[in-house]
Amino acid sequence: MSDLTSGAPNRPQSYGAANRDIIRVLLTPDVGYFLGLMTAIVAMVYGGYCWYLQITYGMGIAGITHPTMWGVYIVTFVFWIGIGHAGTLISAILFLVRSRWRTGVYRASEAMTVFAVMTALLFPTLHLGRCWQAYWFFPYPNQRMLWLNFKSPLVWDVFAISTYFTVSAVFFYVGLVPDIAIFRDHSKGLVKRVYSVLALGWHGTNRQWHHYMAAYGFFAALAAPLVLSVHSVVSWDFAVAPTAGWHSTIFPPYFVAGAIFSGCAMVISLLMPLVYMFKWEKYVNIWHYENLAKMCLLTSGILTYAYCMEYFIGWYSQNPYEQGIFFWRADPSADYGWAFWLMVFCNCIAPLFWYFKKLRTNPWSLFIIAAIANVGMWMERFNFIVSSLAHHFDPATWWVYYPNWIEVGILIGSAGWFFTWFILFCKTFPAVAITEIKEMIPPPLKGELS
Amino acid sequence: MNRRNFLQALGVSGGVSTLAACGIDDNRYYTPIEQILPYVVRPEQITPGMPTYFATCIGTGPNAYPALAVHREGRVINVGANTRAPADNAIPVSSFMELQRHYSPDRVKQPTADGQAISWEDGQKKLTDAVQAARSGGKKVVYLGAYQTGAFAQLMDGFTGGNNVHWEALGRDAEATAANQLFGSPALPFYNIAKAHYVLSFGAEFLGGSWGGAWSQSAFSHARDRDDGQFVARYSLVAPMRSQSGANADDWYAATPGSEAQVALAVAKLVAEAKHYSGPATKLVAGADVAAAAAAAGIDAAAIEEMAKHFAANPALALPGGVSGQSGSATELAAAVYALNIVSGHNLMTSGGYAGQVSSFADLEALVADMKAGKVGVLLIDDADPVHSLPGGDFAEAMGSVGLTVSVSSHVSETSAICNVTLPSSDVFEDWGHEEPLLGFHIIRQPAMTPLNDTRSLGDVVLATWRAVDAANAPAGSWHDAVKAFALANLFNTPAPAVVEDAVEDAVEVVPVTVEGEVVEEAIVDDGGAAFVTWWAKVLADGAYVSPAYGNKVALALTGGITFAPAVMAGAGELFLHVYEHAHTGDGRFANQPWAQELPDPLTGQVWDSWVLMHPETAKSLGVEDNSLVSLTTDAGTIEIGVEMAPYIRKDVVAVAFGQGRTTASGRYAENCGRNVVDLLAATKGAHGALALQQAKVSAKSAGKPAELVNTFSWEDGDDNRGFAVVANHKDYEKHGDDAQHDGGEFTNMHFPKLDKRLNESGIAGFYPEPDHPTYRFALTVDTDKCTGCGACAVACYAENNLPIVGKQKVREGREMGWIRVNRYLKGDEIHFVPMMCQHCGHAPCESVCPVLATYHTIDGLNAMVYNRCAGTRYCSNACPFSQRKFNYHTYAWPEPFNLQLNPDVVTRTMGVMEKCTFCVQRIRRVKSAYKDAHGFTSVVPEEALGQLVACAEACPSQALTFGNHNNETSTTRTSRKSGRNYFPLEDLNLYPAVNYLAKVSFHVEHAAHGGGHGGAEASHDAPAHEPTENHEPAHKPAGH
Amino acid sequence: MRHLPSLMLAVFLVQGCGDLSEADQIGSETFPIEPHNLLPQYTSANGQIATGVVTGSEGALEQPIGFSHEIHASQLNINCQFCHSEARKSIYSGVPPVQTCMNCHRYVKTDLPEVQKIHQYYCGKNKCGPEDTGANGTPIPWNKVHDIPDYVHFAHNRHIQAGLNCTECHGQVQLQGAKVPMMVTAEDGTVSEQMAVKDVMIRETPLQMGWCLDCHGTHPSIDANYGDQADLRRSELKDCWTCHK
Repeated sequence: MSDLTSGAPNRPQSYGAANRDIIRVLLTPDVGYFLGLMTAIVAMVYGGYCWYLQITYGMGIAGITHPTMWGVYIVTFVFWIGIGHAGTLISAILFLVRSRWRTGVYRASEAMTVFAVMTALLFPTLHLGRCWQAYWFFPYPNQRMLWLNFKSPLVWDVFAISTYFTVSAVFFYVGLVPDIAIFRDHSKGLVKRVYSVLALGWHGTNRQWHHYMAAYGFFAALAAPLVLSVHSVVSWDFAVAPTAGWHSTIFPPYFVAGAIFSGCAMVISLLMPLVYMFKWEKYVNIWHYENLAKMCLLTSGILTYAYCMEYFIGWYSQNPYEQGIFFWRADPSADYGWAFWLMVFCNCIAPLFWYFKKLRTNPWSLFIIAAIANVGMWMERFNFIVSSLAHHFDPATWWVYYPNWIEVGILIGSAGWFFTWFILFCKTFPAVAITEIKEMIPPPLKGELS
Repeated sequence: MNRRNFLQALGVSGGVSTLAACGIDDNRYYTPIEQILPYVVRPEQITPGMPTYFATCIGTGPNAYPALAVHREGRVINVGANTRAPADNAIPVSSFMELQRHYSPDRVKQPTADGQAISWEDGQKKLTDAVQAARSGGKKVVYLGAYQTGAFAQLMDGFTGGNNVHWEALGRDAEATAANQLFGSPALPFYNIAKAHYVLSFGAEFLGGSWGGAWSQSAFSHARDRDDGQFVARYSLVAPMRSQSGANADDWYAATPGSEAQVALAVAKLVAEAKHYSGPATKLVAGADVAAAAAAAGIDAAAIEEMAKHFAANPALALPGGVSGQSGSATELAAAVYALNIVSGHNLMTSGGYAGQVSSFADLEALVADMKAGKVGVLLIDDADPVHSLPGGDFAEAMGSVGLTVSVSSHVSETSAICNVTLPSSDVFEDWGHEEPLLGFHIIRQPAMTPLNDTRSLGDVVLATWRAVDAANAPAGSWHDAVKAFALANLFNTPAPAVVEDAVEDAVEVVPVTVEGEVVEEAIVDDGGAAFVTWWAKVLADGAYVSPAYGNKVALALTGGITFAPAVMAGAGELFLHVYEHAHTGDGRFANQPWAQELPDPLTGQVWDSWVLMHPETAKSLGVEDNSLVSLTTDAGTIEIGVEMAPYIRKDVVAVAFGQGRTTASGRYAENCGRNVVDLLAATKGAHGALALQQAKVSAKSAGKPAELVNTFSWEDGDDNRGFAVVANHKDYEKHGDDAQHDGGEFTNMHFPKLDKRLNESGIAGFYPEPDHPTYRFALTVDTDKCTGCGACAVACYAENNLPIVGKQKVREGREMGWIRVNRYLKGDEIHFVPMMCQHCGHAPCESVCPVLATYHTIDGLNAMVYNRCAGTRYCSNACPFSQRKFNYHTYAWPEPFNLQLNPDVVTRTMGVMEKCTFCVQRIRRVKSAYKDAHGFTSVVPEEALGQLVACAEACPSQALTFGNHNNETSTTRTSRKSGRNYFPLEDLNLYPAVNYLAKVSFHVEHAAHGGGHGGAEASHDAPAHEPTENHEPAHKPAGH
Repeated sequence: MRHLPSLMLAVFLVQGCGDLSEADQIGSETFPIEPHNLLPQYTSANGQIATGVVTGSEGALEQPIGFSHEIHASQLNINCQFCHSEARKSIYSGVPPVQTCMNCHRYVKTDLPEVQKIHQYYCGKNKCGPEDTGANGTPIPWNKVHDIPDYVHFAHNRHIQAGLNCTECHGQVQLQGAKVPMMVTAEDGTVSEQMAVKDVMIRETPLQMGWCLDCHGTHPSIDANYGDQADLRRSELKDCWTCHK
């Protein structure tokens, strides 16, 4: 166990202390919590109202415009799908490779995954011209004898994302079961009954643990490839269309790297305030953040390489459409030049500061650079989606798109939706995996329990 | 609750909600229940559900055209060219504006007096009393209207005693005056553009504007078409700017405004010398001075020699100035052009043009003087709007001194708003009439539907009034009888000439005769017998009648002379003010038609506004740029207007389109669209009495704030070598033409590199297999050399396919819905029009990405779009390399009664669905059905029924678009792909589009370099004979060959 | 905490202002944009709106005249196209003009109240004379029983020309509208049992897309008319654009 202790100081000294620390957050919330929750709900309602207006009057009250038919909605969709990657990566892949630093952060990041995918799932519906027909995207028998177009990347999306969501949610829930049982044991009344149902009769017997670990390993193995597949499929939404600036084989790996980058950055951004609020420094601390930052650093490098390759190929192909897009996109005086250079700064330059151990272990620099990376990843999607469309093939159709207040409202609303779930989750379920934390505590000697 | 209970609860609630979703609906029918309202007595000619075509006449005076009005269930839904009329199947873009004007919500719906609605009886009585009073008081009864001929002009002549003023703001009175002075008759000459190898225009809007309209467009298309005469007509323009017609010129000699007459005369002198002319026109051209003309025009003397060289060499034709040449010396310009045509001896200018009354500005001035002097008792104002468009601005004041001003137009205008009485007349789709746009070419107008509002035929109103005041001399019968009587007296028994072109047989059956309930045989005023009845029925069915005078065109004999006086440009400004015709609103009469406003201006892409065109360097020197507001000041006034920078205008000229800047009085759509350039003009006349529109110097200064222009052509600098606008060398084209002996795309180098022979041997023809379509593969050929940018295709598409109008604000947001757009690409000051629509790709990127199969390929090779399967992901639009899919951002409604114009065969789309060009699938369906009925179920529609089937191809006056079945080896769409001019935009994407383009023929491009691949466009543009991009100095243009 | 509701209200007010300016533009008289009612909806040219789905095939709509198809088609054995004369040449079947009824009923059965209604529509009187022309008549406002959505192109002529029988889509129309004993309320309020026309016209078939497609793949007339091209025709008939506008 010595290897585990090296980076992780301040570990709780007993199982009981761990239980107490985590369960403490279930107690009556304070004003700060409610303020946060209300802010999130207000944002969500605001977004909902914008959506209501959009349904009533049509997409025309959003900013999308010919030929830029995908704007903020798809940008945000890809953004949230990307965010949704880190959780499963951390919990499943790191579980499979027995990387123990995951224990402190995996629960929160899994929750983030599930809620991020839930948020992302809003957008394909939300961006539809006729969102009330969203059920058409599922293959179901009907008297019209109509079927789906299985050649369409959007249909692949439906399958990829719904699979990913299902598996992530189940994996998340499976991991929660022993902890819910602890909550059940420490609660009473109606709350206890709810937790009883959710705990699925968990009693921590040897036999249960045996099956449990097999199941957990199975789901981890099932979820791991999905991490790679989902964003690859999402990238095909773009790479399969002939649009210059999208039509590139580099997209799948580049998307996956970007997703992991943004996901890890988002975990940092979410966990730091959470840990501060719940005073969980014992369980989640610089050691974890630093590991996440290292992940970001790696994926940022991959992203930078991908950006360079895009430009190299654009130039090397001598294809006027490719060149047109890439050079225009990067032209600082052009319409989206600011977005491009903001993206380069956020995704390629800012993470470089984490090369320095001092900055990598400083909470403020961690938090700020992670926030910058999140902005940068949104800008990245904005960049390639919007600029490729605004300067499509035919110069006579070029038209510049900017989001308007409806789209910004829905963007805010989606954040509200995400944080509403996340904040509610923090108060109702353990955001740190108690049982796994306990694994890191040296086995208790007799009489030391409680 | 244990788990089992929980699951049960879940199951029950789920079941209930499912049941609710299925809908417990008492009403088992669609809601709302629709009604069927059958006829009480069904008119014989009309089959509900099928279109009935009425041959009729659209437009008046020289711009009258034989047309078909498409009638469905009691209303006119579309117009088309009349294929049975013995003339080119061409109708101008304004016919569609006329159609929309017919359904305008701002039409006058009933008679009014001083703004109060009155009954027709009261209105008729007011008119009768006023005419009675005028006659007894010795005052005049005057009719003021647009150019009109034939039966109506005759009727009005009789009624007013010759006090008719036929005046148009952008009229042709200078030409008429010059003709009167030189030839002794005010009849306009006929210009045989189709036979010209060289057309030298001094600014005439003859390719889409009001000057020559659809027929000259069609004629020029023939002149340009090598197959029609083994030559490519070269078109040179002498004008301060390239207008829509001027954009098509091969050479542009940028002369200063007002100098055109001198240039024309100088060319005439040189041509006379070259042709050793010694006839009577010698004295006309003797005074010309080439050097002085060049200096006045600001062009090289060499340029004038160049023009003369071309003019003398081949059959050539000079065209007068139209609006562009309407300076103080407009009459001189017309005379100089006549002289030029005469001395050249090419004999392409003959008698036989418009012979109707063309009132001069002097006539109008006399009328105003009479009005002010109280000599006018009754003023009937038809489709003329002097209050808006007459410089000087005292017409409204003069109207106050008239006994009774009566607006007899069915459309509102600034003038009608201040008339005492409004007696709305039926418009062209509701009335009888007769026009003679060319000498001997008679078009009969018949009603195509019952009047929409409580309107009456103006002819009937006049007849009734006449009979009330002067029963002895007034003709009996109705206006319909009067038209027939006119035909009987003037047309019947005049043998038709032999030169009638073969009427193209059409799948469409033209239904003869009259409106419902009316029987042909009755009420013939002066009995012509049964022969007349038969003849009349045939003329109505044909829509037109050609009398011997039409074929009898002779050279014009010079009988008089004219003094040449230079034009004077008044004012202290440093820039010339150039007034030109708005491409779609005409002289402003269509300003209230949303189609005219929303269709992008062909040159600038501007919508719903007016703007001042200026050269970028001029703008720079003023410190302004696109969409800056500037104030223009002349001696007559000041307007503030937005800037549109354009390289196709002289640096010392700014140009403003005529016809915008209407007030609320002209209707809700015209309101606040742009500024009225007339505010900058004074009532200046030339030496021969013509009104000068090009009269002023203007000073411009920045107003320091942006204007609110909406420019839909977002890209200024050309097509960036992407191969959308491609040119071919004219020598290649003249030598080889469109024959199939050469590889497709040879002249453009836009063809795809050939595949390896070994691949061909193994049967591999391309990257993808050719799409397999057993019977039809519908295809379209677009000849960009013939396209003049007039926009008829685009507006025909609006009319046929129920495209909504979205208004200025939504266009600013990029949401116009046009399925075709005539894209304009600039290369320096050269302008290239390319109509773009859905290309119906054989391997369409949009189809594979649609998740719900709302778009797919039909077995006929159409890229189909099923609106009600569309969920609105808009992925197809992103995937479409041509960006030709349009999204319904909203559910648009049609303000009544625009909805009556909607085509019942095409559904109107609701919000959230994609739409795009369907190749008019409803017409394809109909023609297939007709052929199945006539020739059996497995019959294939032949090529001749397809050529102009789609609305855009039918509407194109230049025949630039040809539709057809690609599976047919002999179809134009098939053979044109083997043309040396053939190209496909974005061919390297392997889309196998159904639309192919033919390159524009240029006189300024060397042979296409024979490199490989798609880079040919660059090769074509790299070596122009002159370099317009680097040298905007028009004086040195062009070097030519 | 207690400021939260007012904060939320403030947000909505700001939002509301934005909405107003947008709505101002949306609802302009000049360029009307219609708000949506959340159902798939297509507007036909005459401005009426067809929405919703067909859920059943029973029940009758009340019609202005108790016309019995049973009497005319079964008892009198009149061919459908005698009255619906456009069916073979137009996309519409052609509900007969009032004049078609008058061709017989000007003289036949003029004492029947339902026939008098026809006379009313034709000339505004209970009994039209030979001089009445119908010039001032009013159309009979039939309620549509067989209504297809406005986004569907259905051509009667193609189906008739292909040799389909009217009853294949319209059901046993010749049996509809039979006379049965019904309780009828007279004008004076007395209720009595009389023979009266029941269910003037009902829809027997669902007219749904799957039902159309069934026929379009299998109908024997395809083979009869197209011979060796029948397979091609079958695939054409399954093409969306065969029916969808």
